Amino acid sequence: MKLNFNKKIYIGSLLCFLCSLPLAAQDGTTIPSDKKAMTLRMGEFKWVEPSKPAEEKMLGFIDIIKAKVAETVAASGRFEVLDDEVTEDVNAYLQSEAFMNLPPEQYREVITGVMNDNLLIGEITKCKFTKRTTGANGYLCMLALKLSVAKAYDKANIISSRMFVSSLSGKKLIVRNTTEAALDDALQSMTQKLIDYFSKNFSVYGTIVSYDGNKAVLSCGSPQGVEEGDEFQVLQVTLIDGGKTQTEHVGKLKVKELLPDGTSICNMTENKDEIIQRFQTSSNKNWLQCRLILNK
Amino acid sequence: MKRIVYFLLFAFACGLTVSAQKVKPVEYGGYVNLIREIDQNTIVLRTLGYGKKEANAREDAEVRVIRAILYVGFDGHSKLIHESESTFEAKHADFLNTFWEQKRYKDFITSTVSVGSLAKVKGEKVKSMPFDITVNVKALRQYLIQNKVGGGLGFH
Repeated sequence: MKLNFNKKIYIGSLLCFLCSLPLAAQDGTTIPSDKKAMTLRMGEFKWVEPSKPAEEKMLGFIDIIKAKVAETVAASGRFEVLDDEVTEDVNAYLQSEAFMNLPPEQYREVITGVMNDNLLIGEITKCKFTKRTTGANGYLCMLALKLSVAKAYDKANIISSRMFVSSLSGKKLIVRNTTEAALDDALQSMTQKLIDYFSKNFSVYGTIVSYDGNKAVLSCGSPQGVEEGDEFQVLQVTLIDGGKTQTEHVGKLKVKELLPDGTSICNMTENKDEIIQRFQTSSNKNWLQCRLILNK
Repeated sequence: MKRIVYFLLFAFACGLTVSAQKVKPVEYGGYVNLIREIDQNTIVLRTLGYGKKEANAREDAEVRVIRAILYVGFDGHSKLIHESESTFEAKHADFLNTFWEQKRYKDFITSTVSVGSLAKVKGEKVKSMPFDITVNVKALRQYLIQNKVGGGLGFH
């Protein structure tokens, strides 16, 4: 496919734009209640631990670890968990004639979707099996895992990284018959830490669906792991020349009640009049975005 | 006798024009904004409707949105009437009577959703309420073309 000079300049600028934008932006459309604000693709999990088991065994262990981590990501409610393969298609798509031929107003939708697309990569830095031959025969596993979340279209752009180590206290020291079962125990011991990491370190993004008096209906709720009492910052997002976005603090919301349809009712706790006025004048070029305030 | 007939016809035509202009929102400084495109044919617009009750505000909002599509246009969607409003009203009084008074415009509105509460407008004796209104622009354009009043390029 031959691209003319102007289109090459455009693609280059677009990719620079994508790399420069923060994680925060999201379009102003209502998110369906069952849709997470961000996607997380399960990328490569590398065996870094020096002592490697047989190839087949090692791949089996990696599959078990990857599956368990995917489960905890889903349990956190923050991300939609997806396969990695689509990432290559996204990059190819952004450089394709099909994307170039889209009406300009659809670029924002595509770009926003790409910006909320993240990749999880893992490094298994330690996976040691201790075989017990006295007393109860079997295996214990000690596991250390480094997880990194990067932008799906730019793997070098790491947003967050953390190390997790299994912990089996004395009471839970159960020797297992197989290495797989021992690995599963090690993963179980770090499940809550993994869920806490994914739910407390990545914001939830939503929009104001409607308001009534000083209460606003937020587009996210239980499916995204939102809890009563959570606070959201209300931001005005404006599309400016060159396809960039500008954000401005407008006010705050506090979750009062979680609704069965996945939305939540919030009190407008700061700058209620400004929030209402900006909501009324929203358009496809400037809209309100609500971002969960993380308490670390 | 002829003069009487002509006079009656003239008075009737004036009446039509006046009634076509009845459905004009009062200017309280409102706006109509494009919120999103559902597809190439359907768009969602947000506006404040004005009225004493919700039903009045809803009607007002729908009229504002259709008028904006006809006479103003939005990003990616040019206005459907390519002449001034007063000229268009003078030329197509019959059409506008059917369109507004007989509420034909409602056929192109897919949904009207209130997104806020009815609140008093400062300094005015009226209340306002925001609505998100979904309009089938393609169908509206085709209707104008079929009635030979607008909707196409260079069509006056």
